[in-house]
Amino acid sequence: MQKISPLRSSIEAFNKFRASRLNKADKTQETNKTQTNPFGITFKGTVIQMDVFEKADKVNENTQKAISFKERMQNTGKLLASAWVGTINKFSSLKTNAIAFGNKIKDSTIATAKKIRDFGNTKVEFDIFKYNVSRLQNKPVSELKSMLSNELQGVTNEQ
Amino acid sequence: MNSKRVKNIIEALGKHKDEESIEVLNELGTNCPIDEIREMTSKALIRKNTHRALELMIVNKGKGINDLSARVAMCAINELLALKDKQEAIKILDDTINMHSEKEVQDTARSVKALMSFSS
Repeated sequence: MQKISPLRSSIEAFNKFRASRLNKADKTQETNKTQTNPFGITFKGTVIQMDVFEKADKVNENTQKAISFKERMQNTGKLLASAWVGTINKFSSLKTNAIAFGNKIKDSTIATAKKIRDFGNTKVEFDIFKYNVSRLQNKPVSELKSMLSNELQGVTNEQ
Repeated sequence: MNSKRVKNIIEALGKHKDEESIEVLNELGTNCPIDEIREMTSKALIRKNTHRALELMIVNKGKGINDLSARVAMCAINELLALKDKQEAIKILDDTINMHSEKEVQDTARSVKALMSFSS
């Protein structure tokens, strides 16, 4: 039976440990190659994978050059069109609001005018002015006589 | 009853310059069955302080100081006592005391004259 020295056994153990670390390091490198989530952002406990993020190496100079001027113009046109549609929508909503506001003002004005007209049509007789002594004094006696007789007739009828 | 209107009309007739207003007050006011209106008419006529108005309030039986309602009569007497110029009223009272056919009217006139002489 071979005698194992403590030094030799320790060296073997170290070599095993190193091999296992190297294997582990290789594996992690491989996984890192596939992932572009360096910060380990998770969603509901699952690490978000590469398809979620845009790869940095994808957007290189070659691809940028590949996008032709025409495409860029098209994209710009689309952007402009969408902005224009948004502006039109904004203007149309503003127009609708303005029309509604105008109609409201018109209706309220008509209602007020009607009220004023009705008020003008009703004959409001203010006793304070009509039966003022100084005003009555200037009236002819015949008129005062008829007024007094009417009032007294009313009084006697009440009683 | 709108007494404010009636009061204002009677007051306006009392202050009216037209002599016809006295006849209107005599016709409608003093013959009214309502005491309050007769009272207002008496006041208006006495405040006029004219011969015709005072004559109506002093000489006539059942009107002014001779009213059947003590309240109206007392109101007329008070108004006579409140007059600043009592000369015309005293003259009519003297004539009534001396020449009126009714003794009751004469007595009333005498009492009022005595009151007026005391008050002045």
